[in-house]
Amino acid sequence: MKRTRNFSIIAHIDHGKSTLADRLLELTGTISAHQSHGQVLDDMDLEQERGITIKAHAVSMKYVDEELGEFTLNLIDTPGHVDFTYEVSRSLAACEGALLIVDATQGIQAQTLSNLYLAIEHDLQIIPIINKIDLPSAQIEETSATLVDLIGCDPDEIICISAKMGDGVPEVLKAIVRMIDPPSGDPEAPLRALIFDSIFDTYRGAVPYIRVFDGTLEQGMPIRFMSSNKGYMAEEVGHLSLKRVVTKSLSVGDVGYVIPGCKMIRETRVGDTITGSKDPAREPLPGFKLIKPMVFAGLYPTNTEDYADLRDSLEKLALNDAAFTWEPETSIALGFGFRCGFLGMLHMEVVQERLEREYNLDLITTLPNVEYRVTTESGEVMKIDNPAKMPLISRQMIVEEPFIKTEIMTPTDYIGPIMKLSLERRGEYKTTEYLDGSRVNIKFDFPLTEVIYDFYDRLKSISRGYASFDYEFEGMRPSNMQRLDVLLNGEPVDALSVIVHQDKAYEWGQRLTRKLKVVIPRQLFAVAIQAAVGSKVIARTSVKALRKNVTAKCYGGDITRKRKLLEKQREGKKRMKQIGTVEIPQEAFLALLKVDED
Amino acid sequence: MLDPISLYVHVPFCQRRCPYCAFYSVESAREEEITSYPRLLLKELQLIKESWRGSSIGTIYFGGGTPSILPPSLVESVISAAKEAFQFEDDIEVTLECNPGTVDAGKIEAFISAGINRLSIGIQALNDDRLGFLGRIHDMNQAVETLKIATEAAGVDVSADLMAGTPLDTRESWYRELEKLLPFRPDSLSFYSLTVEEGTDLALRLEKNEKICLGSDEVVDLMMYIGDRLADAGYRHYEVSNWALPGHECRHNLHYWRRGRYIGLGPSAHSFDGKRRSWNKPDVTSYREALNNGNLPPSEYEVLSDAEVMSEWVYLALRVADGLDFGEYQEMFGEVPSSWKSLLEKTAASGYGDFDGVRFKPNDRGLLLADEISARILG
Ligand SMILES: Nc1nc2c(ncn2[C@@H]2O[C@H](COP(=O)(O)OP(=O)(O)O)[C@@H](O)[C@H]2O)c(=O)[nH]1
Ligand code: SF4
Repeated sequence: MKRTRNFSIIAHIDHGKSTLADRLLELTGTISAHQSHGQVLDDMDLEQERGITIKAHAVSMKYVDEELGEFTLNLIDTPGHVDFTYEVSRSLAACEGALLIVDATQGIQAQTLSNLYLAIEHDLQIIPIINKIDLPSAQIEETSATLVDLIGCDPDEIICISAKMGDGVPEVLKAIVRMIDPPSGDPEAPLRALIFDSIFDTYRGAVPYIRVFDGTLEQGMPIRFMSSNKGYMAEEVGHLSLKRVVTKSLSVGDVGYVIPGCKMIRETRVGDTITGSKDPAREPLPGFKLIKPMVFAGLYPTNTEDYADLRDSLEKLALNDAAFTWEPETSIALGFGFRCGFLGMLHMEVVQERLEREYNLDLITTLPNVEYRVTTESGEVMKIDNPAKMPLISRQMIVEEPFIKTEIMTPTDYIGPIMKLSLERRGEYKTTEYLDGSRVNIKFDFPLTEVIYDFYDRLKSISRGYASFDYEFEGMRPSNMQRLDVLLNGEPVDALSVIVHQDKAYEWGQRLTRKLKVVIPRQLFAVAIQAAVGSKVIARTSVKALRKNVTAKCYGGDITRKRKLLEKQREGKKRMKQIGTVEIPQEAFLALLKVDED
Repeated sequence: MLDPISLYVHVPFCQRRCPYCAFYSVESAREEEITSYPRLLLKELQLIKESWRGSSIGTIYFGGGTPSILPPSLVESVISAAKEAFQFEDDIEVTLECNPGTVDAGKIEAFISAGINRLSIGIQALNDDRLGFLGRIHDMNQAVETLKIATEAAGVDVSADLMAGTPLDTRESWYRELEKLLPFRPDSLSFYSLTVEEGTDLALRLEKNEKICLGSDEVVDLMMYIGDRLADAGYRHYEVSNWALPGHECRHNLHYWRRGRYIGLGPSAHSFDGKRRSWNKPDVTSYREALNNGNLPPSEYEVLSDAEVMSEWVYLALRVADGLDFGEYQEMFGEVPSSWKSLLEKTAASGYGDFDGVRFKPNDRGLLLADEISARILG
């Protein structure tokens, strides 16, 4: 226990977390230099491509300090995106310390700051590190001053490194064993182990990653998840090196895994406490929350024949993604599909891409939406996660929408445009905190629905990429929301309905009809596009009928070529969704998402 | 007794290549190469005639390239060889494509004596600027002259090919060209719209952002205008690009659109026996080599599946004014798919043709959408 150190790395995307992790693994001999051709921690393809860490992972290292001897260091990775704040908090809860990495050329970012606050809340010892000092544009002094202000550390405590070249990395290891406390806990008390992550193994089922706080977890021991009170058997326990390494038991302070022989990852919830069935703990570890999806969208197969495939794929996907939910629904326009729930937009994109890439499915995704709570005149409460199901709102009804607390960190130059954007998005201004002379942290409350469409992209573009953003769910608040329908040739298309604030209905109507006019190709018949609230049409436009689609010559030698061309055209049409006599390209549904601002 | 077949004879030589043309043809070939070419055709004919034994020929078409480059005597030798190999129908139609600038009155007379009874003249434009843009070898006077000789000659039907859609085209330019053209009363007319084919000079120029053709809507406007003028003059729009005085439709082409059987002689020519379509080696050299080795020249073939036969039938039917008939469909393919009726009703109601519940006949506007309607119908 005294020779164990559990820590995380807090860093903004691209500030060098993975590179430093690789160096630590190399220096401790956990991997050889040539093995770490890149970024051992991020092991899903998508993560590497997007440079984000979606799932937290953990790895143990043996470190021999020149003066103090041998230690076990457990590095617990944290997901690096705003959609995963809760997971981050659970990973941090499993540690006693955290490395705070700041890119000397970029300075500190909003998400890093909020993760830092989370770490401080959990009483973690912070080791401040400035990375990329090898770059000529490194602003070491300024960055160092900000860090001193922020965490009240001594300037000397800050370690300046180049994760890429390896400079300063040995000092990081020395600091870890000296500054971070060893884990504490009661080895005699009943078992309490925190699940900070859970992965799915095709052969073994759910594999929770855990940190033991009290007692001992032994192989073969009957265990129980405290939130669900479900009992299992610890079929296997072990440490997490680069692979799973079986051991007899895990004791206080240890980080490792347990295989409970449980098929559903959902039952091994992040933040839950594992205890022994025979001598259960009285209280679970604090901080458990049931994570709930915040953003919903309909997923439909482009070809109706793929419905069963899609269902199978969703089932498989949900096995290793506990945050993702799905249930069957039907749309008049799109047929049979699923209403899926996601933590946020990035989570949605990732799931969508995995379905298309790993499962080879052609999908139509409807415009995403948040979940509303509607209270009818008679006091009945309905949860609406599909705009098509939103009833017409009468004056006696109450609609509530989810609000989030956000922090936007920006250089002062961009305060103006950010204020403007935030007000456009119905943001409610709270406070501005000056971090130093040139950077501020602005707090707003936003309706979640206003940030799920392109808010982040807009924020980035108006601040030339400097502003960063973080959020947390705040609560439900009453709002004047309405359903806006889209009609094509007079027929409402349920899959295109959206729920919008009363004051924005007109703007949305204009925007949707204009977008549709661009994405719906000219075709055999003219297409009238309308947007309506109830029976009131508030915007309209049309796509003129196509006038010419024919090859001029078709003689003896052309007939085969022509048939092949026609087959291609028909293939193209198969990728379109036919609604009434209107052909809509599948991209249309998502193109609506990329809301332009003109 | 099977229906008569058609014979296509490809002549892959041109005096000069036109910048929009993607057909295979050899530019400024030596005299000797041209005059020795018909011997290859005769050789091919000898090799294939067995497999078409007992067929009679309803139409012959010398296409190109520029067939009028050939000496009439050699055209005659091919016709006689065909007559020896197969029977000729009494009313056989024998067409020769003929470009202004390659013929005079004497040559045209000689072609007629050789057995040609239909001349398809590559007029393209009756306006020197447009002819220049199209890079043709002839000018307007030569075009008018050729038209005059051909239409005055006895014993031939005359057809004229024209090209619309260059950036120089306007309604006024077309008004004037039609004023020059129509008094000759050609028996039939083809109007093509200029398209930029891959690998042509025009494609290169388009890449350099030169304006090469009119926008699709502008072309449609012109075609509608031309169509109206031709209708007023008594021509019937019988296929996407073709008009004719009643009874003067090109039977050779109609044969293709009705999916009749045909033999193609010459490089890149296609043959079709109702199920199997084959095509010859693409260029003169490889074609000649194959024949000199005593081999049949086809280089590739496809055997159509039932679904392919059906889709060809549908799209070809929708290209002609007679349109698509449910009765004919049923005879060949069985039950008409249930969705067709409402789709064709809506198509007719949208102003693209007439539909009486069993036959859809596209009008001028509908013919321009033939591929769209086919793709929709076939789903
Ligand atoms: N010049 C320089 N580049 C670095 C250093 N550390 C990381 N990088 C580069 O910064 C980019 C992002 O690093 P990465 O470790 O993937 O960041 P992560 O997103 O925080 O995991 C990569 O291209 C690294 O090669 C450093 O110390 N110096
Ligand atoms: S004359 Fe006809 S075949 Fe020859 S290049 Fe010109 S367009 Fe093509």
